[in-house]
Amino acid sequence: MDADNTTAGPAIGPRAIATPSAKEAVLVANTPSFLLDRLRKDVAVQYVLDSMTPPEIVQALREALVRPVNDVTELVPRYVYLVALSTTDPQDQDIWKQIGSLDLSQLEWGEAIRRLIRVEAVPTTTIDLAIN
Amino acid sequence: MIIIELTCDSSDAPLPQYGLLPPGSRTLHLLDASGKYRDTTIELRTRAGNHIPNTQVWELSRYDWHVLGESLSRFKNVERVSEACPVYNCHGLTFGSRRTQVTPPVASILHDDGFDRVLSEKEVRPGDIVVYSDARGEVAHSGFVVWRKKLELVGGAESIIPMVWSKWGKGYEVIHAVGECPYLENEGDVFTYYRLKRWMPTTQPLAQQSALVL
Repeated sequence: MDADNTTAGPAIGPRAIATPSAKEAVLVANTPSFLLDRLRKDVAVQYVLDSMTPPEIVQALREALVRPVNDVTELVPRYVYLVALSTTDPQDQDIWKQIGSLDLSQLEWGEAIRRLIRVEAVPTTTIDLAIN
Repeated sequence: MIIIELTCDSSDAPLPQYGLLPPGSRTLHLLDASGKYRDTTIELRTRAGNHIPNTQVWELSRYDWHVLGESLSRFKNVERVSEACPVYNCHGLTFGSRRTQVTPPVASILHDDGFDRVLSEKEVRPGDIVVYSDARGEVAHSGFVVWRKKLELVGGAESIIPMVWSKWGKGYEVIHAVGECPYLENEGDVFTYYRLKRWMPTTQPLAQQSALVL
């Protein structure tokens, strides 16, 4: 994977996650929910989740969103970051506040996907039960 | 956010031709403060007169979107029949004559326009519409049946496969077998055929009938 120093913090760059399958998803999606479903299962999102914490993903997305989209390939990592946030623990109010504050006007379906992941967020808190 | 628009005062005066000016439009949309072209919407109605939500996306060129299509070669038997275009989507092709991106739900359009379900694939014929839905029942794609491909099976038997003309997102218009597309790859994805049988929309919703399940 190539590294792009334009994203601070995590050692993962936008170009690295613009995989062919993620590009295809952005190209062929007719609806926000289709794009969300496709990217959730994409290796690019899995790679982001394996490499970055939710605050790092939010930071990377925030930094990407302040830059203009010069070509369509630059849309892909933005959507990948956003969809990666769909696994965020809904009880983590701090991170959801940060997600809610993102200016997604640059992404045609950014707001719609944010609404979907907020509605569909499932608590990830686990309880370990031990039998003595 | 600041959006600047230049509007021509005289309806007779020709407007200069700019690359992303919608054909026939009297308004030239400039970049907003974020450097993004402003999306537009048009008046589009069903046969029953109800408004169809829609968006025209002017951002980026067909070449830009073409760059994303490298992995579509995995669909070996698909015939590409247009360049990529972000202005209209599959529903815009099926229900909007390529004018704009039509936003689901499409059930109300099918109802208002007078479509009925075609229950058997054997009865499907050119001109019918096929609508793809996911496991949650949300419509993901639509297109037209354009012909029926006859396949000879082992032992001399024959099978008929409906061939569909549809547009894949912001990408290309393609002709593909009904089962060969990105919208039928997950468990629970289904497709349903519709035919325009009625001259006038009814007041009754479409009957609940089973779809074809992958």
